[in-house]
Amino acid sequence: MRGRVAFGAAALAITLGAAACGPDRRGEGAQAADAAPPPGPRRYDPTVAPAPREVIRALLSIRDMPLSVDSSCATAGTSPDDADLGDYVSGWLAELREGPGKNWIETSVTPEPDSATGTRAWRSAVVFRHVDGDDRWGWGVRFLMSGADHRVIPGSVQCTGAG
Amino acid sequence: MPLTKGDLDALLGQNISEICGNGYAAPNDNHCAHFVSHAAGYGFGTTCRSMKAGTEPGASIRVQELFARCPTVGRWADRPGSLLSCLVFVTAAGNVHVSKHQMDNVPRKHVGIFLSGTIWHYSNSQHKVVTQTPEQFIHHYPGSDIALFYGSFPA
Repeated sequence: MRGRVAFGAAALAITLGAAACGPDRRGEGAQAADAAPPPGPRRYDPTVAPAPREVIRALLSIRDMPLSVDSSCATAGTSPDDADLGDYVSGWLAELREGPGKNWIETSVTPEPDSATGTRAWRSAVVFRHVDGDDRWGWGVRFLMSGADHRVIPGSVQCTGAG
Repeated sequence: MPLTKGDLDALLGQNISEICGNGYAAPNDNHCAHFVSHAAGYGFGTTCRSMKAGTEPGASIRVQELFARCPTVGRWADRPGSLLSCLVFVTAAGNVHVSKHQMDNVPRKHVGIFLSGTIWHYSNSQHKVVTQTPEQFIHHYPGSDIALFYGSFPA
């Protein structure tokens, strides 16, 4: 299963000021939040593959993981100062600039049992791609997601990419 | 055994799927270091086998890892006259730190094999092995800051 999200630099321009433009709901929202119990872990049907946005969400959740997590990540950052997956992902996202060629984010999910527990898991990957003639690359991260809660299974993370 | 012109000519025109027995051959991936490593037998660092879980010997797939393993590196103009064959790298000069023996993992970097005045490399746009002269190879990427670097063959 593969997903593809094409975008240019404009799509990266997140409107950070948007929250300040809406009505102030702090009073009513804060009261409701105070009364609500803390959310428990979400449960998922282990036979249904994570959607592309869930795979990307899982990647974001491991941004603090050090690049020493796997030898494939150790020298994969665009800067020698990169220390964690957040640095690595940020570096490659920043290369998806406006200009000639195409940029896109590719996600993929295939079923694969978690070898440690034998339970259902999903081999998931996110790849940032650029193609402009010989300027062609795809760097990203792959990992196992638990079928039960869609969390990243520790020890399953690798950085992908060649060239 | 050292690479010969005949070895490399035998690979001319081939797609990476014909060269890599591990099936690491997606057309949108960059296979320059991958080709060089299959041709020369380099299997260190991140390999096609570790990425694709194949059964054949793995070949290195990353340019910066090849550069770091070359016993000697330098600007192309400084290549020793005795170095008649070597790896040749093309990228923006600022990405290469010769004194540290290090190349940054930037998107625009490429590698080929220099032998007898010719460079064999994998064209990712043509999806096949091609040959060029160094004078042509330096134009692999546009820009006035693009430069060639040599690296003696890793052991």
